[in-house]
Amino acid sequence: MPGPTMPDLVVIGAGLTGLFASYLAAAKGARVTLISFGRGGLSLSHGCIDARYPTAARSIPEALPHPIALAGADALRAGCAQLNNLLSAAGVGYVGSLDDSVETLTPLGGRRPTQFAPESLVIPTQLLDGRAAIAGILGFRDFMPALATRGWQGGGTAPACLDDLPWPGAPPRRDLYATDLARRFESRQQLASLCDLWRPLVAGIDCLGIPAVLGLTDHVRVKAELESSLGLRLFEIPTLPPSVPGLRLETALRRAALAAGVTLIEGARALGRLEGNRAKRRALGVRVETAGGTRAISADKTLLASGGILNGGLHTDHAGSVIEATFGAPVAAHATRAAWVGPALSGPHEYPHFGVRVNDRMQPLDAAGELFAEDLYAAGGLLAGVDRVRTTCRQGIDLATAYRAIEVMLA
Amino acid sequence: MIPPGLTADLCLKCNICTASCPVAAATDLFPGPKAVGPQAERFRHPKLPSPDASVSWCSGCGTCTRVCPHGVNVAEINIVAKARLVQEHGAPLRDQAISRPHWLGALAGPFAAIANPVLRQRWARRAMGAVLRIHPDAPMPAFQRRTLRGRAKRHRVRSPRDISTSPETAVAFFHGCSAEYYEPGLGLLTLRLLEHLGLQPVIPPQTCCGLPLQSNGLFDAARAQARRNARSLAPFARAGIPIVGTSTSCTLALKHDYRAILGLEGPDFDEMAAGTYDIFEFLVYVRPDLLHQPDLRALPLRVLYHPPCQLRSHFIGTPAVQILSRIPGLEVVLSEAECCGVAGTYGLKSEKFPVARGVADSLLAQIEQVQPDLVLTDSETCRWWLAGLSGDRLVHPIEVLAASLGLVALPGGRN
Repeated sequence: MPGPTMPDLVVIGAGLTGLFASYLAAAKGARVTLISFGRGGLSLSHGCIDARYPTAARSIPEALPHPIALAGADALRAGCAQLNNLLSAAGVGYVGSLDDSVETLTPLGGRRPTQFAPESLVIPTQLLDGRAAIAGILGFRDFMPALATRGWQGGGTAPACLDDLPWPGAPPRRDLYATDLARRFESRQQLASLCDLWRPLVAGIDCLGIPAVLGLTDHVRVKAELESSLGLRLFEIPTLPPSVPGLRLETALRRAALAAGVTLIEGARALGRLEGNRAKRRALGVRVETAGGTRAISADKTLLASGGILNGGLHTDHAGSVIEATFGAPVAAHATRAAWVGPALSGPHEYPHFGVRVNDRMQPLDAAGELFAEDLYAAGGLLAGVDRVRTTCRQGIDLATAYRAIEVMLA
Repeated sequence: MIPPGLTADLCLKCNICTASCPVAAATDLFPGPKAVGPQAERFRHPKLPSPDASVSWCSGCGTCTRVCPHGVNVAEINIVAKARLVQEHGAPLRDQAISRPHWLGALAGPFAAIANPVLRQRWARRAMGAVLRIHPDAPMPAFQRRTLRGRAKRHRVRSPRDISTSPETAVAFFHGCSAEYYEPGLGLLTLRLLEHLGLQPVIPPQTCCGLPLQSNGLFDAARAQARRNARSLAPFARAGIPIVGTSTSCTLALKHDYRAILGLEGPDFDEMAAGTYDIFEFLVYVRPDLLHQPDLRALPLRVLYHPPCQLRSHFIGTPAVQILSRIPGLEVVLSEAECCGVAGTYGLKSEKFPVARGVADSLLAQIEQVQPDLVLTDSETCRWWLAGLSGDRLVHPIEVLAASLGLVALPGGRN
């Protein structure tokens, strides 16, 4: 039951930032309504927490302050700690630390450093010991082991590339998605016959990399059972979406948020501030588009966690104007559309820098540097001051700014 | 409203819908909502036959549309494509029958004393399975001798002009077929609860919302019923009288399906949609002043609440949870399943029953694990389905609220 002094909050967006912020606020006793147009993008994510924040000022080339500089290094540390507590309580098993990095293998055979990763994705030390292999799964087209072994940049000798491992029973009647395989791995009966089928095929191998499909919620058990039955060390490699590690992270966050009492409204598009609002400097909540029509959700404070230019938080048009999609907050962006992209396809580009300018209380500012609305806050991919594509602390920004925003909103 | 097919181009192929689809998770016969929806839509030409029938495995639960982050009306595309298949190949007698619950209720209701015991016999269900291809294990509701309208005559009005009190206290009840023919007790309880809260509930003229016809691809018959409802209900919306329902699939038809799937247009449909509310949505967002905390008696119960897929498609969240969480002592555990499987009439069909049963697995497992005192869900078809599969007594959340307000005794718990 929310306490009498706690504010009513609306959070817009159910990606990492919105789910985490909603959970934090509800766990502290606030009444939280989380509004999400569609499901958040975590099923497109590798599931790792990149949080390497370059502390030296010279390593941050952007003209605007970096979101973590505004939120504060303490918020980054506290946000990561809170998330890790949540995940270990959920049994999802992340490893790593802010001060060091762990490495995962990319589907193209590269090593990818990150700060916190699911234990199952971390490259085992046995990988370079010579009796290692990478294998796909028959009927699953979203992972090609040869891409990793032929393009190997992991140091030492490349692991062997095995033929696709078969699935017991009748062949599937359609292409399997990562989520299909994950559900099959969770079936105890299928797992036993699968082990019998795989054992001769992986004989002599000490370390096996397979696509990240070992179960949606029960993967820790699945991995342990496979390892003990096959007598080898197993690790997972991220695949194309739907990404199972991302879905595991989403499930853990969603469960924690709902258990803390968050009201989730999924499917409704956020339209803007409440109507009849004479005090222009307040949002008073948000109007949303439901199946029947527009409804008003009033709130003391509103957090925008609607994502950046690739995630729906920013609205662009062909003339080159860029604006925050829900409340129309101004966006730091190039006015000429031709300047949005650089000459090379792989970048760097300008558009990933676009975002909403906020102060150190995570409140959007207008062009004059004044508060855009007194009761409006923003966090995550929506914020200006960093290249969302090339940064090494993408999830760190989400966690730090969500943590800071909720800290201020509940103060 | 944009025709659903035109939203296909918004698809980014992100597969969020595929990952969430409860039917694709249960069977590899269904290629998934993205594949049969925005992807296959490019191969459907208005003047050429449908290229592929795999879309018929879609149960129409609507999860794909709700989770799409880019505005593709995936479920609507698929429901229209399924109707094209029916136009091309015809609907079996079974689908013609189960899509008209109001006819069945009106025909069999007077003979409930005979029909109900017969339909509980294994041989009768086997015969229905052989003749009609209705699965013998699919739970079905019991007929009632007396209808809600027959038992609540004093609430019936023909138009807003018949309402004597001030329009601010009037509420129009859309009972749907379930409260009219199969669960009149729930309808009567809802009317009592609304009166208890100081409102004047009225029953306007209405017919079956038409959703079962729509789900079975019989669009023309569904449109005829939609027009009848719009003609009689729109005047209530125009008079500022909220239209409130306890059946979340019927209210969704009024709000959304008439316009977005059946393609019906005009001010009647817009005003009716804007003026229609799920009963808990009404209590949370329209009249939050009616429920007073001191009036809510403690219910020391642990309940598992399953928001029906069709309630989720209202895009209003779970207002029943917002109300029930105010009842002292009541612990509400949320279902994690997107859909219970039955999806209206889908699970009744012999060929679809195994898939629907597979969809139900995760929810039945959660019920088994949580061991709640009661399982709650708003939609009647979900209640009948889950009660039949689990052996638990299933109740509408409004019954729990009524119990907390002291209007009825606590509904019975687990067997």
